[in-house]
Amino acid sequence: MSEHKIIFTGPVGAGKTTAISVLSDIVPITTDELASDMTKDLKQQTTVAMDYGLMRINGSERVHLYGTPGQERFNFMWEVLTQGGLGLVLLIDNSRKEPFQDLYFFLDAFKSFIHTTAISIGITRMDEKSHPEIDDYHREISAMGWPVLPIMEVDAREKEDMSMLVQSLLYTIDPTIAE
Amino acid sequence: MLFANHEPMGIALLGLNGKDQPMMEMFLKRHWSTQCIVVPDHLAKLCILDLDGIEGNRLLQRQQSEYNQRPLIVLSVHDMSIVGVRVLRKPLRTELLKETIDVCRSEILQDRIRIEKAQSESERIIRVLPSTGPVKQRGIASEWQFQSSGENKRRLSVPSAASQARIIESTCGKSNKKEEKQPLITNKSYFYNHESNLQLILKSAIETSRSNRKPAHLVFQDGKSITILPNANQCLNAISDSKLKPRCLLKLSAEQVKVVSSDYSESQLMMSCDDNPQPLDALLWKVSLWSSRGRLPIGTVEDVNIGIRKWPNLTRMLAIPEFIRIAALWSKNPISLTKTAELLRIETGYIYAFFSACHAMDLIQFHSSYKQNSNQKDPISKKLAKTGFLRRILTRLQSM
Repeated sequence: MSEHKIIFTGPVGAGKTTAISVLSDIVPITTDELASDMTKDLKQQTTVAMDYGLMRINGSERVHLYGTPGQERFNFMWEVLTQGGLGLVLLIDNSRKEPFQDLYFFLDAFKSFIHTTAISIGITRMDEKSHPEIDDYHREISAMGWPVLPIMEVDAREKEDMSMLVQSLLYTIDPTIAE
Repeated sequence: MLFANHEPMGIALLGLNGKDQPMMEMFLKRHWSTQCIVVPDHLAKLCILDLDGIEGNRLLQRQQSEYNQRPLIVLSVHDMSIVGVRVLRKPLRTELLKETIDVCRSEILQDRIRIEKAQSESERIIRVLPSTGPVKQRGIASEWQFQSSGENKRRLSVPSAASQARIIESTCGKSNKKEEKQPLITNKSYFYNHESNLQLILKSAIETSRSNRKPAHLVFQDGKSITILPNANQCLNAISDSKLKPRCLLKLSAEQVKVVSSDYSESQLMMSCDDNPQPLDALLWKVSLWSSRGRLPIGTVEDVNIGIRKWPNLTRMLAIPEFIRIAALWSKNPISLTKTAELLRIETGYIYAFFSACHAMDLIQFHSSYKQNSNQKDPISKKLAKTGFLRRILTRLQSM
């Protein structure tokens, strides 16, 4: 049996749970609890341990989809979750006050994992707030010394968007994957 | 000055004789197509009156008393001036008549904007706010439809297989699968002149509009127009995809497409127009793809190593799955067009079309002296163990 995992991360409310639910073949397992901290201003429930979804590729092959909890105080779990992962999907909520701070934080937090695997970045909620634009994210990432990374506007509720984002992750791992 | 996709403006023709009336109607139709239509006097927004007819003076008095707020163009052989009226001397110079009608149209539009501005602030805000986003292409002609199944949905819907085949043909050219064993030969048919078509005109207009920070209109001979809104990074496109596509293949002169700077603010233009705004980059991207049809911009050297400065925002652009592969390859290592085709084993049409669109968007960077790092592992051998599995995940994702 061949099993791999893809990690979804990003700040609270960026759409990790939603993204996993649109890609998963099973009803995702979430560990949502009533939000008790400042998260409650954003949403009623939040992920406190992780989200889990599953894509069945064929009879014996599966891709596990793990979503990290958004709050920084749970970051001790991130290293465990990423072990053996194929790559990282980072979702950034554009409507938050300082989305670039989120970007810096998550790129830094997962730096070693990204260097050994791959990353694709989805910017969510651009319909609610259009600035910064995608070009601004490219500029920031370049200024941080990262190579050219796939960054796309996505709606985490849309299968096509999330599919394209994960495809960009896989092709970044190996663009020569044959048809 | 012309604007995008307003409702037709009604024009009344008064006092013209039986010969001049159809001539004037033909003139209007030729220059403004369906944007100006001849209507009865009481429905018109503009009136053109021939003062030299038997009823000329009476008609003028009636216009001045009953429609004193409405723009009026008077035609006469006599040199005269009438307060509040534009007088054009016969014999008519068509250019002057055209310009005068355009000025009147602008005034009418401005009045409309003024009236709308007087509406409640909340209603005005609702009309302006959605401008920030892409975009629902109107009309059945749009092959790759933007969906808006709920509020704030801004995405592309997946086309059917037949529709996708049409998209591929219109962007990447006809499939060469039967000839794929033939070596890649550079010949004239692989190139198109991107400097004499809509792609360059649009690109230049966008650049000028952005540097001036002022909206601009691209006005075609048939009166259709595209309005560029540089600050919102959007455009108002009155031309459906099916009509825009053939225009991308034509050699166009400055006479055929005029770029007119607008004096109106972006919000005024958005309020006055029924079209949904769409991102400027997405428009330039698809215009470049339709211009390319799987060919390269003339002067492109296929053996120079290239890369991309950044990924195009493919979720919001006309894209096919091969574009993701090419973007992934070009974002990692500089590589030539020829090598790209060899390594990815895809038809050159996909690569050339993607190159052309990226080139138009200034995403391409050339690396003439780049040499691959000898320590760098061959990506194929490095990932070989995972390839089969990755392929199967991709197949699964593409079937979603």
